Amino acid sequence: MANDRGPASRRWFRGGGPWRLAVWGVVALLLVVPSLCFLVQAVSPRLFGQGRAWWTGANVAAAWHQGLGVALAHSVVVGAAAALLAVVVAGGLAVVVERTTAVGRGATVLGLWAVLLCPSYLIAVGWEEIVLRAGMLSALGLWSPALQHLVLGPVGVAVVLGLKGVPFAYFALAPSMAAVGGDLEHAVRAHGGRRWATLRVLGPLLLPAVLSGLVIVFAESVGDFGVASTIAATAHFPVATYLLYEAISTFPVNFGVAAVVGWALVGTVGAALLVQSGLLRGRSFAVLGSRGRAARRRQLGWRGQLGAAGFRAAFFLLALGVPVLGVLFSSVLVPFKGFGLSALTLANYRALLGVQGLAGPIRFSGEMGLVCGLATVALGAVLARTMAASQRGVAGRLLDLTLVAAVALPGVVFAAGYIFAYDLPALTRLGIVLYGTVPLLGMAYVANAVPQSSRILLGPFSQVRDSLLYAARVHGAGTSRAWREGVLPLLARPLLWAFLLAFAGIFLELPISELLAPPNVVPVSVAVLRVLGKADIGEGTALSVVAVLVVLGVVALALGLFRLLAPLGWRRWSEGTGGAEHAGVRAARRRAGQVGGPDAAVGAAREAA
Amino acid sequence: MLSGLLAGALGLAACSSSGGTAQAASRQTTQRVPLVVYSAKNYMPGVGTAFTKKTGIPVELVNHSTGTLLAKIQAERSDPQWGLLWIDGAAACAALDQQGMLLRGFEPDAGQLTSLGKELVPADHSYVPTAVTIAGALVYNPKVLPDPPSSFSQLTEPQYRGKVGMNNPAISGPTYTFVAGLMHQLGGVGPGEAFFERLAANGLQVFSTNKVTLTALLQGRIAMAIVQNNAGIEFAEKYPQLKVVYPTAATMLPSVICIDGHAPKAEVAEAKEFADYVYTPAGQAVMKAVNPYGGWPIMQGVTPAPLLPALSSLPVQKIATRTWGAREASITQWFSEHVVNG
Repeated sequence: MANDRGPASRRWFRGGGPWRLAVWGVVALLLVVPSLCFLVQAVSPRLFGQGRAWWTGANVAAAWHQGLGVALAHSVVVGAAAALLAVVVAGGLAVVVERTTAVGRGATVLGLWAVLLCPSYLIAVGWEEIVLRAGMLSALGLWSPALQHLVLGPVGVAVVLGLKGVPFAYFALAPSMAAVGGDLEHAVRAHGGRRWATLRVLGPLLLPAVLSGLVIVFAESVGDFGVASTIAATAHFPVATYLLYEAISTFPVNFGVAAVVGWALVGTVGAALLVQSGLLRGRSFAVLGSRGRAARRRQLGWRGQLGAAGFRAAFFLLALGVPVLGVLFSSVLVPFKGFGLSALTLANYRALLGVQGLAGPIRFSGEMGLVCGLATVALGAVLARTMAASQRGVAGRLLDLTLVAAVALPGVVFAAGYIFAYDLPALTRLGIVLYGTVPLLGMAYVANAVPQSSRILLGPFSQVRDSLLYAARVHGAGTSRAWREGVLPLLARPLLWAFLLAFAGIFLELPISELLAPPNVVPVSVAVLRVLGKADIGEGTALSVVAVLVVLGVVALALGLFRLLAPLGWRRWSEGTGGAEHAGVRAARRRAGQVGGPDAAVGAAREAA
Repeated sequence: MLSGLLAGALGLAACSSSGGTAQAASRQTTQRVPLVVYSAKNYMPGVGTAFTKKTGIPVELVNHSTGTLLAKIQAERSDPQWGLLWIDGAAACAALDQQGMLLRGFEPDAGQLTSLGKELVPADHSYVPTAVTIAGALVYNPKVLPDPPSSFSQLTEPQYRGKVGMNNPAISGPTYTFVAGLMHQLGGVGPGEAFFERLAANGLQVFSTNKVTLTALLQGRIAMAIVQNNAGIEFAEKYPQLKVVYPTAATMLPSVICIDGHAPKAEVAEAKEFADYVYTPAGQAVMKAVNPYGGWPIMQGVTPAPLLPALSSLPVQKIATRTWGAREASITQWFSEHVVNG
């Protein structure tokens, strides 16, 4: 991507000097220090009173002896397969949504957000409920041992992770898919090139986005615990995150081995980033300019429309339809009664209504989701902006590595790391008592959510051109006004979605809530777990359905309020077909191209806002 | 919560200015301080409320699974935050004692222990037994499995191939006691490991916790589930098609209280009061009322809930807590390598 060159005195716009220092300070306090406090125990358990040795390699040997090599190999293989699957599917979806006139493009993007909001655990459980011997297919007389073996094995693990990763890959790919093309496509055709020649020219230009999608889905997959603890665990298919979970759940707790597994996860993702960097080194993929021509959408005939609809329907059926059906099935069926109307019941849902004491936890977690979700989006936006402005610098790459590595580390690592970092007598002596307080719990929530949030916002922020800000400044706007009136209208929708994603994650977050909630404070996930502790799959899935419905209700409410209350310009400029949150930016760029410069773009943005 | 955040921030500022924390200050006084209880017992909220009502001592409760609590305690070793721990499994408390973390030499003076209760008291009085459960009971559906085994050693027979499910002892603490008990019954670690290898070869399925294993039973993935008896009884109460039996040998798993040996004196005194209260008829009545299946009582004059069979009618055994507790890390690691991931 081309970066606008601005005056040196305005480098801070692009994340230089004190600004970068402040950003790194926050990242260090929230992410780096707690993570390192946990990870350092791989070699120095005594540092936090977890053993006698100041320096030892015993944990590495123990982790290896416990099967780290095999588990990591499994994680890498399914992670790579999931990433490949996700990018292929997401590429197809991006073509349909960004480059064709297929109907239902907006609904497709909404569906992708629904997949993003649905926990991987729920997708895995839903599939289990379909293919198991006592599952839905069996009730319909369609049970197949071969299908059960396939789904509840390595293939199933990779496919579920891949389906879950499609939205991440899509949001990495879609902006480039929409932006790459116009002039080049025109040039190829002017020289007599046909569709294949166009593809050969344009395809390589998508490489950065493709690699970005591969890396983020790979990181999400190797760090996933929802599928690891369900399909993978019961299929005797150990993966690295499950090994980490075992090391922390066992007694005596083995933080040293868990830390070694943590390093292995970070190293794996780091290696993936290195490969990405190596493939892109020395090549320029800058194609966007202020006078660029928008890519042309392909007009689809009825066959094309049918194909596009079928492709999307198949994806959503596998990613959402089947698992939701499975979860609903197990929540409304009486066990041991076969399959029929007499076996259907709403007892599990009625039982939930009778559970006492959930109102307080729901309110607490709702408020935490609101406050910490806003903080997450604010920080995520700052980080996305910083990374977008310094992608090619060392600091930018280091920040990228930190955030992607954080995606690969399970939440329990942050939770334990926060105890090591903030429950120290030295801090108490200094009068700093954060441990055991709600603010520290909030910090951990933000730390856990911000890597994903910044990754989601990176695409839209990468496309905000500094020229918008410079032009606003030239016209006399202050910094905050330049952002508020020149940029915010373009990013309102992705910011809203990033907030909703953070809210959903925080509202249902478990390991951090368990380890860091102060005494007498019960987040909703902990309260739910207490109910589930003595519940069966029916009540459990009913509770999951209700929890997801609550989150979807909040999402619908927020989107409704946005539609009602946001200024017209925000809606017009930032709405689009999705990954096309960047549509507003494209529009701004087009206007800039038409009337001759970036000043016009900010003028247009301000006018619209 | 917003006010909580504000209060937290203000508290931080106040602490910074005074050079000491409210918690630290309160811990230094001999007045009533909050008693921080880490508990995995689901009757604790009820018992805590009754205790506060009787004594005026405020209880701050952290209520999670045993594994989560032990991980939290281990991570907090630099600056322990708990005052009293109440869990299932004496082995974990024995291990904490061996690390010098527990108060020793305390015995509640309220109520009289049964002879079984007295047998469960450790020599150094580093923890206090409060009830007894069985680490591994068998839950099954008689329609699917009309002939359940009478001894766990029969599980390797061909008719049970692929039908048995149990928890992972590396994740479920009570399951370690079951594994240790079976090894004890079979003659030691070596014969025990050989048995579990045969069981794995016979299609044993391992899940993470009681709930997941029992769910697998509902789903038809297994025909019998080995789980802690109280979880099995609750499940069978909900699904009357299921039965709970106690094959030989059923290993006892005591519920125990232990006290942080490094807690401030005032909190230690309150923790002792709490343990005393649990031993009183009032405390025992609250436990039974909140959760009738929480375990067999070990106090004289207290009767078990009707659904619990007489303990004397079961083929129960006790295992040496410290001996088998010391082997927990190596045995669970072996189990992960050879049975779970083997």
